[in-house]
Amino acid sequence: MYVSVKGGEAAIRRAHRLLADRRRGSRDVAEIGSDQIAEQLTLAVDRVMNEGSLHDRALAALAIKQARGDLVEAAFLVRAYRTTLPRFGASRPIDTAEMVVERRISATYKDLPGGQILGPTFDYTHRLIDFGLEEASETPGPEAADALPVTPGSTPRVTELLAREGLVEVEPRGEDGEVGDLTRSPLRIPAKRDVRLQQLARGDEGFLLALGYSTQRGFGSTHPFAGEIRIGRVEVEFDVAELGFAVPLGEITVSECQMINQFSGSAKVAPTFTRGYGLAFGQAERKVMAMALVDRALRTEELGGEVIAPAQDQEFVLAHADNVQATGFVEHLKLPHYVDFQAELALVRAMRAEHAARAEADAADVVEDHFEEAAE
Amino acid sequence: MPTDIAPGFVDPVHESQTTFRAVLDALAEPGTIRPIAGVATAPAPLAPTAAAVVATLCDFETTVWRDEALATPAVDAWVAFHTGAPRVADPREAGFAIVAAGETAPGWETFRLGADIDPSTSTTVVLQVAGFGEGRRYRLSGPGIETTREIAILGAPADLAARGAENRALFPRGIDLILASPTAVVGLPRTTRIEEIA
Amino acid sequence: MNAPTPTPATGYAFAYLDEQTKRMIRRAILKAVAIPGHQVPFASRDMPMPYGWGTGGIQVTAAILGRSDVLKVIDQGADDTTNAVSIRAFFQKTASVAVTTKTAEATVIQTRHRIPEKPLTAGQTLVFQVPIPEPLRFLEPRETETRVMHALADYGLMHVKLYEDVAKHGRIAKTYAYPVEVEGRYMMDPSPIPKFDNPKLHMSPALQLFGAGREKRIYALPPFTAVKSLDFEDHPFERTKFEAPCALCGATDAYLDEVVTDDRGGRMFVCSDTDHCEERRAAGHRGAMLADTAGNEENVR
Repeated sequence: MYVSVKGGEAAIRRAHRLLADRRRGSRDVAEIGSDQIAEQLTLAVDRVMNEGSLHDRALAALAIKQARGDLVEAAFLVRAYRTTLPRFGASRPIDTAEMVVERRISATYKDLPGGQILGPTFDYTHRLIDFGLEEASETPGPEAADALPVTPGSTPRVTELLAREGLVEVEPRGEDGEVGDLTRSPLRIPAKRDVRLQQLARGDEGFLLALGYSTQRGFGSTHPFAGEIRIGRVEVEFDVAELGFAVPLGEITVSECQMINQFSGSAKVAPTFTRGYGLAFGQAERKVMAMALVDRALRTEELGGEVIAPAQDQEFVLAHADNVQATGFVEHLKLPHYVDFQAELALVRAMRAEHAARAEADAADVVEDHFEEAAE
Repeated sequence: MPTDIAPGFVDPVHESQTTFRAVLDALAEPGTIRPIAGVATAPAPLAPTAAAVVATLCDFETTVWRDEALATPAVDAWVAFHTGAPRVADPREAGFAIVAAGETAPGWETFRLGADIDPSTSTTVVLQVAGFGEGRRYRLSGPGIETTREIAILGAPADLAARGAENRALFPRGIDLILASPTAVVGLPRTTRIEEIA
Repeated sequence: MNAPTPTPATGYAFAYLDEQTKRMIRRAILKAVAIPGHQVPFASRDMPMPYGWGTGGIQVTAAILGRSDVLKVIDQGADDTTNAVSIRAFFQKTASVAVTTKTAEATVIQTRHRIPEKPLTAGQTLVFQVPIPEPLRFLEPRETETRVMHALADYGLMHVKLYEDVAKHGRIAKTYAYPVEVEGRYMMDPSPIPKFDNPKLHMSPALQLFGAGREKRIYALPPFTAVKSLDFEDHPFERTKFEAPCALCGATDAYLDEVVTDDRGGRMFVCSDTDHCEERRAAGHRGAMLADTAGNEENVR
């Protein structure tokens, strides 16, 4: 008996209700609040803000709750919300030299003005599960020395120290101060560096990590040094045309990585170090380091190198970095495709039938030949 | 709103939607006459229909050029206020051009014609005409037309057919034309063959 | 200024998109109509549905839809597939638009993978959801290269590929997303419709719009546009034929889905276009299996 397959609104409604039930989990356990996510799963919130391309901690936390902790799904929720927001313009460039630093390390100098500041890092933890966290306990606050903010401006950027000697390339300033925005004009290849950095900042952390890693294993080596990684608060300002001056919008936490890479120079240019740059919302150290590696790799062509590795290939990297796009297209394979499959099925059956007929004809020929030979 | 700028659409969402559909149908089926309500309050010599097309399609992401006849402070202020579109002095930089009348229309080749690799960047020219159903008669053919379609246009450039032929020869480059009479629009995209009926 | 007026039902703008986004999409649609078959880049937005699930079609529909429109949404030809239901519900919610399952009643039809069997008429608009708009993509993965090929109308790569098919398989081994040539100029991907539907593209009285959200491209076929499926003189384009009629309505001229009825090789063929099939049955047409069917029972949990 044939029963037609009907999706229908009822099926969708029931699926949504089941989803909400599974999200809530056992009713014996207190429901998690998005404030708890915002305060205690801060790095997840940071990642969702970055890949969701929107700085809003409360919204990102709520998205994580709604997405049952699936961070790509949460970024997707934030992105779709972002689409509906009016756009007033672009902020002034943030000045990370004026950052209220919480963490600042350099791998290229043992000591430097402002010092190395470890800050809240996993780096020197032993990765041993802390069973003490199973129970709520009093967590002591930071030590007195860490409770005071670092004076803004007391930690000059490492690249500026090198630049004074002419040892690192000078960043060319944007021609007209206009920055591209690939959410408002479609990506064109070749893309300028501002647009590339935007795509990397929105890009999937795992994808960037793998690409950055590939450059370290010889697929487009950039000889990187972690010149500086800094994390802290910066002020965001917005130029209001009617007022004629910039208005502070508030402070955000960002992570910045400046990679310093070897460059042998050319006939025209003396040898200098070159830069790879990474910047992201919140504490996103892995993301900005990987981003800086990939940024530098993507500059291969403009620095006179030959594009041979995946991480150097603009079209490959930029077209596949967005996990909201990637997850949608990979997962769309679960949508019905039976019309196309039917068309392929018919073709394969027809070709198999022809194949069988040919094989039969060949076999008959062999038998015929055999009899002919026997007759001779 | 400053008191010296005339109002635009009363219901922007739905008026721009109906205007857009009329323009879409006009360009999809060249030579068909598509009535639109227009913006009655548009400052002369900007025609209410042309004003509606501009308000529907232009914003801060498009550039607008207008000819000398439309270069009045009231028109410039109206377009700037209701669209936010930057005005350009060079027609080669225009995403949209507004032309007051066929008799004084500049040659199509003075506008942005697009590139073979990206022909969609060419100028859309909104040309004000006196009316449809009277004036010079043309036979049209091409995509959007099953066989041929006839249309009469009052106030089109005298050499409309020759301009069309030159524009068509550039394909896929070329401008697209939206004719705006006092009550309706007609589309003549770059694909349309225009033959004048003697 | 053109501030969006939210519909009270949802708090979102009419048809979800803000007015600036609609203008941007509308401009792209107009240029697409003016250059039939050419893929116009547009700044596709992140939509509340996943990429690959119709975000391009949804944006095109949202940009054209008005209060007097009647919307039909199909996936695989059917109005009742889950994704079609979901997209239809989206527009009911955000645009309070009238919906229908009847092809003849719709002014706008959004589709994935099919063109309705009932011939479309003047004034109707068919919006295709497109996953990969570039017909040359699987022959040349780089956009920088394929853009130049379109600019030069250099389609040798495709002709070589189709010729290799003929040499290897004795036929052009393409059954869906079968490439077409528009007005003798642009090569175009008709979206993954079965090639059975390709002839319906040619000189259709309806406006056909194609939206690819993830790939950020819009293209169009105005009504009465010449659309030729690629072929060779000695291997002309052939429409897929079915050996059996629809088991429900007896149609012999419709695209059929194969339905496996048991695990012993039993199968039947039924119309993929559910509206077409229902209309035929309402008119008294009966297929071989109809007496045996329990009708439209729900089989998706």
